[in-house]
Amino acid sequence: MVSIRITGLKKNYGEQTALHIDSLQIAPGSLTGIVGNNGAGKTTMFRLLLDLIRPEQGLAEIEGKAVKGSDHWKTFTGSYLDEGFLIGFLSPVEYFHFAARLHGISEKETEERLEAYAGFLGDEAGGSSKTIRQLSSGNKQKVGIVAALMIRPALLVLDEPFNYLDPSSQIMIRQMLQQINHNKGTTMLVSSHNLNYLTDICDRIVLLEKGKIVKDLTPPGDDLGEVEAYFRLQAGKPLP
Amino acid sequence: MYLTLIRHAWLQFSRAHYFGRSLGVKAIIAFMALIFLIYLYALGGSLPWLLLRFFPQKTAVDALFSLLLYIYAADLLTRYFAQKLPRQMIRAYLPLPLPRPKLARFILLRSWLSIYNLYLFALLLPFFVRTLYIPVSPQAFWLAMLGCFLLGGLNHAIVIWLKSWPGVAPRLILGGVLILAHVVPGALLFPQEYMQFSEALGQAFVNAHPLAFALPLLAIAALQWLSHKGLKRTFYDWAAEDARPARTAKGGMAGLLSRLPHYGHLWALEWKLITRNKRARSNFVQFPLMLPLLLYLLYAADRESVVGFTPLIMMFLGSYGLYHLQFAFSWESGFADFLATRKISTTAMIRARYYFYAAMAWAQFLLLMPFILWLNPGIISLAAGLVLFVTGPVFAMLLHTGVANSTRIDPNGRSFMNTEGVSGRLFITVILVFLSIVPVYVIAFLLPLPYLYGISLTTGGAGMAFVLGSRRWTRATALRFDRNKYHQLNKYRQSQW
Repeated sequence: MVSIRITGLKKNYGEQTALHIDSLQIAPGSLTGIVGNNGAGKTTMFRLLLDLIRPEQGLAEIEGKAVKGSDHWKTFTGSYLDEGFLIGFLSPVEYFHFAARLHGISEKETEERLEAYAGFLGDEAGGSSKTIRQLSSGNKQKVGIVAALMIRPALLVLDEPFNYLDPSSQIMIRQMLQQINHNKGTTMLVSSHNLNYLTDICDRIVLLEKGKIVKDLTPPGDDLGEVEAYFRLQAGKPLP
Repeated sequence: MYLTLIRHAWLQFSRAHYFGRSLGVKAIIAFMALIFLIYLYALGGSLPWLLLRFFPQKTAVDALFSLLLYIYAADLLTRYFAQKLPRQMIRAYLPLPLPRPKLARFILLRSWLSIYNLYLFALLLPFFVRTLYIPVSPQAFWLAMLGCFLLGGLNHAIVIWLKSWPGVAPRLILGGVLILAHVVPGALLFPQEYMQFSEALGQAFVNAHPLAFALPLLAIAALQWLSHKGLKRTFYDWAAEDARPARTAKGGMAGLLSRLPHYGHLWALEWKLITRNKRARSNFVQFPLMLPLLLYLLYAADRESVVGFTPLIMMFLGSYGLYHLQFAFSWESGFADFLATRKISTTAMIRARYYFYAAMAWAQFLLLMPFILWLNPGIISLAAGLVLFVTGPVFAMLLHTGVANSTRIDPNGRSFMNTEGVSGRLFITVILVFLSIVPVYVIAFLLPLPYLYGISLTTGGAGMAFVLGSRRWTRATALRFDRNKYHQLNKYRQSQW
């Protein structure tokens, strides 16, 4: 099981601070939800954690090792942030096999693992000869999520996994995440705008605002109503 | 793994939406490329005879060697503007368990598979066969070829190093310094010594002088090492491209333009388009680097050479509009739907664009005028005529054909003269732009006037006719745009599907 530690992590874009987290520890095997309005810094936090952008200062560590400039964490981390992280000119099946091969999974094993996700992927994302670029946003999302899950990662990072998905797929992905977390002890970091989905499955909710952690709640001890109250307050008065 | 990445590079190319489209035009492009190579090959074969005419006191090989550094300086300049770093959607590979150093090495290796590393050999191969392989020895031939390959490799390594460097500013500064390092001593300060050094270098290659090979080889290795280091840092920039906010400073040029009456808001929009789109901005800020070359061409042009120089002079006198107007609609990307669903006059939009880029070309000319008058006052009327010609019929042609490029298809992937993403129509338009000058030259030849004045008059006259008639042809272009709108938007949807 994998732990994460973030210390004094800061990222600026120009003069704007996109993220500034003094300290955050993610326990091994936990399922943590990251919530916040647009521009709160959720995606920036994930990008820093996956060493895709460089911080101005601070450290993100996975399993006690800094991620910056390192590749050790890639072997046990599954992630999907957005469709820019898919290889658009490959078909979904080609992409799954490529990702699996990089993780040392044999072709036969890949086929067997994909069987388990056939229902979630559906015909278009699962078996068609279309390239990923030609898929709808929802199907791209499914391909990205399955590619992250099928390697059976010890750490899973998903940014807005419920976006673009039809209601049935949203329910399926929620069940899958919960099941994998319970059965395999996978450490998960999931962001979403959909509070209900996260509060249902997560054992910890971290609320970001303008790049800073403003609430860190652990149900059932903490009242998740606080999060909803926060968003109601942010919404302000209804528009005329 | 390298083989898989090479396969991916091929799949990216062969599965691109433009692959398989306009096959007829692509066949013409391939044919013209073949003609160009045959032309270079034939030129290489006849070069010994030509060189002996200009340098009767030297052998053909020594004469070529004395020009070797000039040839490779021109090659460096060409590469600086045209050669691209193969990026291959690197963002998708970064979170996968592929070590970054390996990805960087792959990009560097793949960059060597470039036409820029081959084209000069079409010229040099027949030349060295005739002057070294047959009369001297096969060994001398191979040594000369290897030496030239190293010089080309050095240029390759310099350009790839510059382009793998994070950020645009260092690339511009270093690129400018390197080009000037060739131009200043070679063309202006010590041309004799420069040619002597060039000749000595060529002879050192043929005489198998170890240093002549070792130094470029070491420089290439050092530059590739630096590129490797630079690339690993640049990966962060590529991964964060969509995360970084656009430069949206208020005021400045956009603010100034938006305060102008009538077309002001459209000019401000145009300014934002070219300064906030990555590729457009990069080309825009690099354009001034070409101006010294324009001044040199205007300085060197005389009655004999002016016809040969004109296409280049035209390119530079057209300023940024000559490069950009073909893409004027493609850049819009996301807001083509915005335009299609709002009451915006297409005519006003196209006129605003035309006036914007024509004004840019004229402003550039006015700024350069004192220098032209100082360097070669006799050429000023021709330069003015050519600016009129470019801002007249040439801009009209670019805007008119640009309508057919208004597909929003992968605006950043479509690049100028890039064989990976070249649009057949774009290529043909470039050829037409250069050929458009031919009729006015023929008419000028028939006029009872000194030739330079004749072409000044014909280019200026044709240009003036289009400038004065711009309201008419911009309206026609706008009508064509409106007629094509649904077709183009549909093409974009299909490319997504």
